[in-house]
Amino acid sequence: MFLVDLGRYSIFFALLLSLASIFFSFFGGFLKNNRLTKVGSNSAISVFVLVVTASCSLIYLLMIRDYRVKYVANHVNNSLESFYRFSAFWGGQEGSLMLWLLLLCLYCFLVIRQNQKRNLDLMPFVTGTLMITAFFFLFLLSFMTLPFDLNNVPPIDGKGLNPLLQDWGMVIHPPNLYLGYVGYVVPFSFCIAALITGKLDNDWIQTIRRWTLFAWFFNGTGILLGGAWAYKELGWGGYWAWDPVENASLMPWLTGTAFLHSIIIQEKRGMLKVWNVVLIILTYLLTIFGTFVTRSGILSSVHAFANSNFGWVFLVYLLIALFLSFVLVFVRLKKLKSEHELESFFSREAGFLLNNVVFVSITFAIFWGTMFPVVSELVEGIKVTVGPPFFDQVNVPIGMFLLLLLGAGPLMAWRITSTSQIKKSFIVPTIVGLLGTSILLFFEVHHFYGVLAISLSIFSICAIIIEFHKGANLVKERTKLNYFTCIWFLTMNNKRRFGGYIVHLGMAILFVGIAASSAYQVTEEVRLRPGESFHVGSVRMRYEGVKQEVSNSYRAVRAKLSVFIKGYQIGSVSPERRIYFTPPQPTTEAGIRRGFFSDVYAVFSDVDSGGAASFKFMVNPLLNWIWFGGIVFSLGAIVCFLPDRWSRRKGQIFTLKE
Amino acid sequence: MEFFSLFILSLFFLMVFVFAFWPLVRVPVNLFDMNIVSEKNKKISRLMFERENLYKNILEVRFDRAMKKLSNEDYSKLLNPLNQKALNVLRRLEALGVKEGDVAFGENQVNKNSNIENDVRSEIEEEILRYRNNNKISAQENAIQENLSDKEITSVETTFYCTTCGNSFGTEDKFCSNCGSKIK
Repeated sequence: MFLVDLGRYSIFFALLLSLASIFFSFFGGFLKNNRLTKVGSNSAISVFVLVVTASCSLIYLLMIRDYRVKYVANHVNNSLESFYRFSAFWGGQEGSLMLWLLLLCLYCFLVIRQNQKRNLDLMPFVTGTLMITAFFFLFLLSFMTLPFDLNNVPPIDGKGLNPLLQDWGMVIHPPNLYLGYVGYVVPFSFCIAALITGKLDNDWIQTIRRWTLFAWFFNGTGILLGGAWAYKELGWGGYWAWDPVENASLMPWLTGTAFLHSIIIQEKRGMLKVWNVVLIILTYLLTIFGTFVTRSGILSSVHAFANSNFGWVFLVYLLIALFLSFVLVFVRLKKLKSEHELESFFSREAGFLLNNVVFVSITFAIFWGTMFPVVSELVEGIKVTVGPPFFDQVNVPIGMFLLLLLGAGPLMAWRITSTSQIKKSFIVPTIVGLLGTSILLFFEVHHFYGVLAISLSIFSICAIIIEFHKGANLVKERTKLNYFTCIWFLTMNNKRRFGGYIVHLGMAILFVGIAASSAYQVTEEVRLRPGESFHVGSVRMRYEGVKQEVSNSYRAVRAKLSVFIKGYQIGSVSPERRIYFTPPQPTTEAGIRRGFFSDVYAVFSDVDSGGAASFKFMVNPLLNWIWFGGIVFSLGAIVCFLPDRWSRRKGQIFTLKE
Repeated sequence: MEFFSLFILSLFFLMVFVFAFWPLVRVPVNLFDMNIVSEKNKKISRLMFERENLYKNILEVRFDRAMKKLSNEDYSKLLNPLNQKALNVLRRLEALGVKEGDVAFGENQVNKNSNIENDVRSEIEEEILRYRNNNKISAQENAIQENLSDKEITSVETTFYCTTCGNSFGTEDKFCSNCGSKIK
């Protein structure tokens, strides 16, 4: 009981201290009183300590399977491995809210430590704003959904973790996504502080760039990990289904990407100040909206938490935050005027502006599609389901334009790019892109968007490779180092620019994977007897038979299939049907043979007494390019994130002395 | 609950509250103290920040030129105002007693150690020296210039200086009236 009391009181006292922190931070900031602001920041640190204490208590209770606590009894059982017992911390509603809060308080603590001697005017309001969000989550955990609630009679065994969540992907994916989600609160808080104080120059933008990058990186990799999990675990052969919760995680990433581009324009040209403020407010509100969608029960989703009854609290908070933020923007509108005008449509600024419009358009389309069932129910009383066809129809054409910008952006110069320069820069990538189109058409690949997407991706990849090549040659001319060392030095001395290009490269590769696997997927459903074969595209599958297995937590039937291409056996796949004991739930484990050019994907449905089994086979061309693109994207983001001092003197391209 | 557990819990929460509210009794020195940042330091910090940004922008323009994205005409059109702005910021910093290579208040040594920026800095420093030798601007004059309003400072920014001798010239001039160098 000691740990239960420790956790319970920690949350309650954290709630009180977060209130104190808000009060003292804001008053201290307005009155410029050091004592009050210090109490505000110390209270925030205390909240962090208390939330860490409560989280550790809950984790420990999960590890020792203390079924007196309802949360523990509902999410672990006797047969669950310790690895998953730990991950059960974020497997349920209360725990996931605790994780949100824990990360938020950790970030608040880091921000306070980081800014002990910087941004002194902004910091009280930053702390106050962070603590308002923390207060909201503490309020939920204190009064709406209690993590330390007790069972009257403790059960002998717990209900266990949802079998779908018993996968390494689901262990990493939620914290990864949360690291990103919660990370956006920091730039939002700085933005609110800048709006309150009226110090809307570039200082706050400079401070939050890395924080935004950090949040955006984890948000992006979290989405990719979620996709990888869905592909492996859900057994429908896809990785993205435009599910409301998936959409909710994508929307902040899209506005975050737009923001990361547009702050560069503000830093360099003093433009788009209002736009930047609006973007970061939108990103924050979308993260809260995402958390709301998962818990409100207003939208049906495979990811949503069941039996949530406090969606309205999120909605109220969301509306208050929306109203207050935009009132602040309106009050400071005069101070947010641009310092410069756009000089030329053919410039990097214009490219960034266009990409912002595209990102926000996609966000709006997704938001509308996600919320349409709710709107239709409110207006007409009928819940209209909006499925993947709507999202594909709207987003694919906009995505094509984005793909073009992915390659065209790096070819532009700041402020002005003359027509002759544009011709020179674009000619090679355009020819290579068209060459790609011709090859695809030659091989009778006719899907319009598929061909267009792959051609544009080739254009973008070529444009980026040319940029690296030109840069490396410049370094080579001056340093006489070998080519690859030159690329390394080039990247390390221009981390923001070339790190960004690597991200673009990753995205272009990822788009090739998405386009090819969506447009040219082959699917077949068939019933086979042992020894029989079936052709799926150019792949032949031979069914060898089934085997039964029993483990501690499930009983499985596993089918074995040999995979042949052009008569040669290239390997085998073993799809499974599992039935978990607690909770009693069937799951499908797909059999996947991954390859550079295509994935062979097999799902096993059932088997009769004669050994005949039903299968669903898929050949997904270039699907692994999505994950490979994701790795390249992550590397690029890490390069952008590296500190400036990691420059390499030898590889300096040039100084001002020319 | 056992007495011992209650005692530990109470002690823990008491410590947390004491930590939170301790500053009301006594504020520790140098932490979160706004008064230690004088107006002058804030001004210096802002100017240094501006300087770093200008250096980065200058490098970007030079990089774009080297990557053949900018024509010579576009290049000089972009670079000249940036160089002038950088010179102006450096002069204002000098007037506030900041020497080249100094680090802004509250910043760490990262910028100081950046090789690229040190080279940019040294180049601009040379230009400043040339400018100062030719125009004999005294520290007093610098100080006066520092007190100019923003409007007046903008007018200073529009003056161009020869990169060879530092003599001032108008926007229409093609050659320097002092040393005869071609103006880029």
